[in-house]
Amino acid sequence: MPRFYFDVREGARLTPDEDGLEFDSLDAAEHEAACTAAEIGRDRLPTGGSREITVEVKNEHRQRVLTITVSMQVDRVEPPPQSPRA
Amino acid sequence: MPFIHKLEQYDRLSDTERQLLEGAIVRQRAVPKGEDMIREGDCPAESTFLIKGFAARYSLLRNGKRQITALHVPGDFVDLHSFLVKKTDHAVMAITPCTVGTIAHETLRGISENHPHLARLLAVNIVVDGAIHRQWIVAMGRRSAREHMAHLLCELFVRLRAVGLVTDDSFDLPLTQAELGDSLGLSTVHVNRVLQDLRKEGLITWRGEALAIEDWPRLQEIAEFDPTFLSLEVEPR
Repeated sequence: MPRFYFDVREGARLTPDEDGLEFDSLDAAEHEAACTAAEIGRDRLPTGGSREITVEVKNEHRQRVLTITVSMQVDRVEPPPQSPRA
Repeated sequence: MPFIHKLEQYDRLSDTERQLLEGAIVRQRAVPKGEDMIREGDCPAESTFLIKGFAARYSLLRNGKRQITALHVPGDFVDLHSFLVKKTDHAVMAITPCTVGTIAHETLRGISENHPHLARLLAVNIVVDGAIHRQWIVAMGRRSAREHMAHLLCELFVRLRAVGLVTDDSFDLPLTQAELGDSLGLSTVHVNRVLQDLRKEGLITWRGEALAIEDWPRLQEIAEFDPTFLSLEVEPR
């Protein structure tokens, strides 16, 4: 089974995957990467430290084969709307 | 017998009680790795406990996804509750090659009628299983992946230490990363990443198959781990 590496980027911080994992196909690796991006997003995005998580999938030669990005955008209305008159 | 040793972590046993339990075991058998020792929908006439190896309670969804709902280590009953609920609502599989023993439900009925102290101690097992489930729900619903993993490692460390399976702060963790993912509700890649992070921070290391806890206070702090729920206190019950 081919080995894939999953590097995770959170804002400016990149955590390279040193071990890698084996999956039977690129499709399987993509699905895993997508789940991982969503899970890390669930943990990290609402706290506001960074608003974008990227998982870069590399093959056994450490060449990038796909990238998955999850992001959260928060838009406050400025100035805040006035309360309607009673 | 590890399950008798485990009961002795909750309260003292009299010689009579110990002999009674030793005589209650009807048979031992080996369960190969990956095989179910309890199948969903079974109506067993006996309860099974683990002598050697790791086992997992699990449920399978229609889409093929699996959730492991509990991990069992030597000394644990995997289905003491089947004595009361009859039809099992989930399966239990051998994560590693296992040796299991069984006690007939009829014998358990006799114990519950004639030996109330033993019956209460056996009930502690079921109560603690419930407490572990509560911790898993809290972790699954509210903890980050890193906190959740730290909590599971703390839990296994304390449980294995109680049955004498921790040496020099390290223990065999024979679960694959996929099985850890099915226990935590996380993808394998995420499990791998969280373990790498904990290792890089000097909290854990691998010594072959064994996982060593390098910084217990810090791991406990990350997990907000309080071992009270495991009830590992020898006291009158």
